[in-house]
Amino acid sequence: MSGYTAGRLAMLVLVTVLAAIGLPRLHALVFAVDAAPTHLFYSPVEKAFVFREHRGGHDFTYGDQHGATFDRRAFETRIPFIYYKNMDLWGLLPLTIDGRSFDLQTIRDERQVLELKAREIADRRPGIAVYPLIESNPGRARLRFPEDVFRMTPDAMEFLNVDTNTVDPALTARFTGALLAAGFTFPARLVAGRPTILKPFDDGYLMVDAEGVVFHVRRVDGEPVVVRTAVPTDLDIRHIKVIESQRREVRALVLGHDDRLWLMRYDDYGLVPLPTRGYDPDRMDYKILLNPIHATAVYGDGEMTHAVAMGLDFVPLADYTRPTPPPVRVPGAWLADAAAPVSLDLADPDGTYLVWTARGHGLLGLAGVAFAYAGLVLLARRRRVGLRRMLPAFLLALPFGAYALLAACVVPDGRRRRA
Amino acid sequence: MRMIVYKEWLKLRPYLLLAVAANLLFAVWLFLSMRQRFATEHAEMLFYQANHIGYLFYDDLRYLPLILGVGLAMAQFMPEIIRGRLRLAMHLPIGLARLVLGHLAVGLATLAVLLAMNLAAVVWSVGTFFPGAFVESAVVTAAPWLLAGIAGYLGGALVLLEPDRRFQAANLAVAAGVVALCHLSAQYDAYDRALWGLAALVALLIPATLLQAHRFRNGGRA
Repeated sequence: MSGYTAGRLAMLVLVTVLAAIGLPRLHALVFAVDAAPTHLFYSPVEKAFVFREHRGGHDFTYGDQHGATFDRRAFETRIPFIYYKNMDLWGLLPLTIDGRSFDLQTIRDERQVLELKAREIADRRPGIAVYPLIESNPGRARLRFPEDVFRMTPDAMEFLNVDTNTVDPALTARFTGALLAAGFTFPARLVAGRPTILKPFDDGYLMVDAEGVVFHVRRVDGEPVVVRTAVPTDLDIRHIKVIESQRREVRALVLGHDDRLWLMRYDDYGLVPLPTRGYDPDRMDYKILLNPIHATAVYGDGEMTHAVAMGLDFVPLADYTRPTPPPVRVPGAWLADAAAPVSLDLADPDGTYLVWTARGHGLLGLAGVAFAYAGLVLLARRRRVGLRRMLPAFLLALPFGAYALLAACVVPDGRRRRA
Repeated sequence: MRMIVYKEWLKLRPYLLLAVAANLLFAVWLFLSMRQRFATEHAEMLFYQANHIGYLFYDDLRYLPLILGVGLAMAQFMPEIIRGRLRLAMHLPIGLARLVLGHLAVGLATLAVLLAMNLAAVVWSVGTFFPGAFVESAVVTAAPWLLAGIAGYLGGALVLLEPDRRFQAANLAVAAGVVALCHLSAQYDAYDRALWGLAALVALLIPATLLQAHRFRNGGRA
């Protein structure tokens, strides 16, 4: 292959790839689709699922699973534990449901929202595996960061002094010894905690050891406190989200590699399975809404929203799946689909790692191929070159349609056809 | 080939000296600015900012490789284009591809030295105050910025060698597109899973330059 041919081929690929990334982005800027997720709740008043659906702009539909629709205020009064401040403003508190009375303080004390977002999952976001082990008994109102951090090495929980950036051998030996004494097998598979001081209290770290055993490690009065939990070792844990809520009922959310999700009780580290039918942790945020009567699990993507209502023992009572209304189509939105069967992107909307993604555009994309082929034939005639010379562009047009045509136009090729 | 290296060395010497001096100044400045942060703030808060807030203490490096790359392309190819030296060289008994790739090899080797200095500055500064995991993260984070420097150099060659203004504008858009892909995220380690694809895209600029060299020799007639 001559340098000229190699150069031309490289430019064709470059321009095609850049166009397949850049033009769909430009299209998304121009033809932005106004879409919002469906909000789904279980109404303790109606004993049915109620929803808020977005219909574009400021247009929302409020309704229930039986087909009834109502206005916003009626919607909010059906889920009074969510809109309890409005209930208070409107003079509807205390309210009585199933013979039980709930005032403002009771609702405040007994409601909680737990959430596991797709972008929070440890292997979906960058993180530097160096953590502060905050004192869990600070003896003062606010938590504060220690002057050391730890990292898990293949055979130790190693502490480093942050002022000198050197290993603290005494602290390392103390905590490593405590872990070994509790039966910890190095290296650690997972370290999960909330390394912030902006929380009501510190609950240390939950660590999964090499054998799959879950340990709870805290620093109390400067000393290691290690608890070996009875969490089954065959769960194949992917992620643990430590909660650290003042209610101290739930210690963590535990996600398995098989997409099962559990709630870890605060008192005994016991696991409570949560409903996960149709749950894809890589694409969906999972929310648990707790109120004085029910727990509701809600998760979904751009196409479906699932909700499962449970008692406070997390035994399912009812479930409902609602398809998301299609976004309002704006004129010209079809252009991106018609340009090519495949477009590319370097992004990750659900996480913080950038990844190369190829997006298919269905049968409409074939229009882009046909357009590109017609354009390439015309271009070959105009440039007076044989179709064979355009073969790379024809091949690139199969997946990339109009983007390959653009590349062929932009990359010069003036070599004359031989007589 | 040795003659090309010697010729390029004579031409690039002043730029190289200037760039090395700028890099040394940057390295000292980066180190001192980090030292100043550690002297005036609690180290544990800086660890928190670097790890959990995502603050990049070496963020000032971000566009330096790009400036170095574009500057090198201008220093290497502007005199060749303006004074027509490259066209003369193209009549020497040496293949066009070899001639152009020889020039690019010298330029890329020079750029590699400059970018290695940038990387060393980050490793030195971050490694002095933070443990190894932070240094690894800084290297992964800075890698696309370094690729942007290489894209800036190769893109500069692509633009300068093209004789036709219309295609020159298109080449500028191509180079800018590749550089933009290297600067999509301000989050540390964001490119961890995308670096090889990005490097392949940047590498495509090397053979692409051969097309422009061909057109340059023929006065824009392909």
